[in-house]
Amino acid sequence: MKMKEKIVIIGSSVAAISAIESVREKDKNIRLIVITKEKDLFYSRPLISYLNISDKQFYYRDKNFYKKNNIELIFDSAISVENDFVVLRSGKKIKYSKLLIAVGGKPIIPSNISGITGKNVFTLTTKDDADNIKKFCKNQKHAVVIGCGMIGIKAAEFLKNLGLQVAIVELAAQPFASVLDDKSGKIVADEIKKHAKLILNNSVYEIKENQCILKNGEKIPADIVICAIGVAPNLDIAKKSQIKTNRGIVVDEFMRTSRKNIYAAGDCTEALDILSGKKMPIPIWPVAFRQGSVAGSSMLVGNVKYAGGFVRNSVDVFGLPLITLGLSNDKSGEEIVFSDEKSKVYKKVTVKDGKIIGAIFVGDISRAGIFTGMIKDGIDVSNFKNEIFSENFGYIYVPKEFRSKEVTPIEI
Amino acid sequence: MKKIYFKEEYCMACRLCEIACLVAHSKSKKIIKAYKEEFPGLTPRLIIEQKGSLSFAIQCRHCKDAPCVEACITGAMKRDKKTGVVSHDKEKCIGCWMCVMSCPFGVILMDIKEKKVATKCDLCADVGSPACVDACPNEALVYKESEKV
Repeated sequence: MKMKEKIVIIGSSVAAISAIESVREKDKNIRLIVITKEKDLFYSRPLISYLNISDKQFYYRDKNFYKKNNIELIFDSAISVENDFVVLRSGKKIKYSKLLIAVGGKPIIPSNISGITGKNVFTLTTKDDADNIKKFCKNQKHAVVIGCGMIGIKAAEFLKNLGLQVAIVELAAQPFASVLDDKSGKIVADEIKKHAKLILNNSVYEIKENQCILKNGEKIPADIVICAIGVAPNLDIAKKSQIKTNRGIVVDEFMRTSRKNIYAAGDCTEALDILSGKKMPIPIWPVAFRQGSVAGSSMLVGNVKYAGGFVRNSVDVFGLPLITLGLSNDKSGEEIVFSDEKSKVYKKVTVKDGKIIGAIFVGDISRAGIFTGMIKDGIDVSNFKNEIFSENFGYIYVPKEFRSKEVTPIEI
Repeated sequence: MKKIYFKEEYCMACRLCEIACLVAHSKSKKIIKAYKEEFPGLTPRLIIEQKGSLSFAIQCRHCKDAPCVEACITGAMKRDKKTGVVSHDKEKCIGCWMCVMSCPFGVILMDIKEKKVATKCDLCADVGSPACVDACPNEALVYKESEKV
């Protein structure tokens, strides 16, 4: 790139950080500008609800990261993109030669709940949110969490650790409804019930100053309400800037958007999902990291492709480990199940057309990554599917021709 | 970088590498003491796999685009760009198991006995050469330079 060229990145979370590392690995000199709304940098968003962690754990890159990588920081909000500059809230305009939009997701707030805009209602996606909740919770007793997914569980743990009694209200018949099946849902629900009140098949109809009225008329005490229904791609900038969006900002395998020289990565995008073969948002950390890395490389040379991803998550539910991979609640495949109710272990792998399309691990998550690898590589498991939960199962079942050269390179 | 590779046709599943690994990562570094006094508290950093007559010992591959590094939400798992070594910082780890979910070799283990953290092969960084390779009587484990870092 020519000396005068400069890369501008909007956002400062994982996709942005990964893009920066990817750019700097190849080019130490090109100007890099980061525009961020965050006051506090490099903290890990998934950790905002953890109370007893050290700064060393909370910040996933060291304090000198921006200095070391020679980044110019602008603390402002980006509004839109005009021609070849970014318009900021302050009115300033920042010129770019390559632009990366890595603005993440926005919490979904249902408009049909009366009182949802009240002072006692919060969302939980940034450090500011967590700090505000902490402040508000002083001397409060009862909390209600709307939604029992990833954020809902972390919100419930957070509030409980702050000393409140927590009720979780979930519309579906079980927690993590999109990824758990009935049996694993029940194990997880039973675990949650030991720590919080879990109200399933119900929803909040109205929020008042110190109570919630549910759809069935039931009233539950609520000094504070956290809305944790989910997160949707943040399309604000893209929509104002004639960048093609669908559910997320549409990107190709180089993370290019529909507008020349503009790239996008992370939770704000929709890219290839290898299990459905379609583009869709997959708002998880490792996908954001990989997309950021590809975008960083594309903005310079453009020869690294994003191979696609699939949804997966690891979450600790009040101490019970849980991992789900892919289409874990798809009922169209053959299910291979291991279950031990006494020890709260439940494992299931779903196989369709010879390939694993999804998996659930509750209680025992050891070596779950082997299945992540098998899904990613589309390995045919027909010959050994019945041995998947046998004691000897492991990487050794991956056919030799598929075993990575990291294991047995030819020259050794 | 130098990596540990296995030659599955030479592995006899004698498990000497596992013992050597446990001892090398024990406090006392002495086999009898380690097994008598520390054993339930030790997690080996490698896994021995066996299927019929086939067997091998597998440990962290120190991947280039390491999925565990990408998935780590605290930055505990990182890859040194110069040496290529993927290392894990116990002090940073919070035990979210994103790495366990991500490693396609299944070689990131959970140390839940002391502090809830991930653990994996460190190539015996403090000793210089991996104990498992030194212990292998049949040269089924080798520690060699690979062409690319």
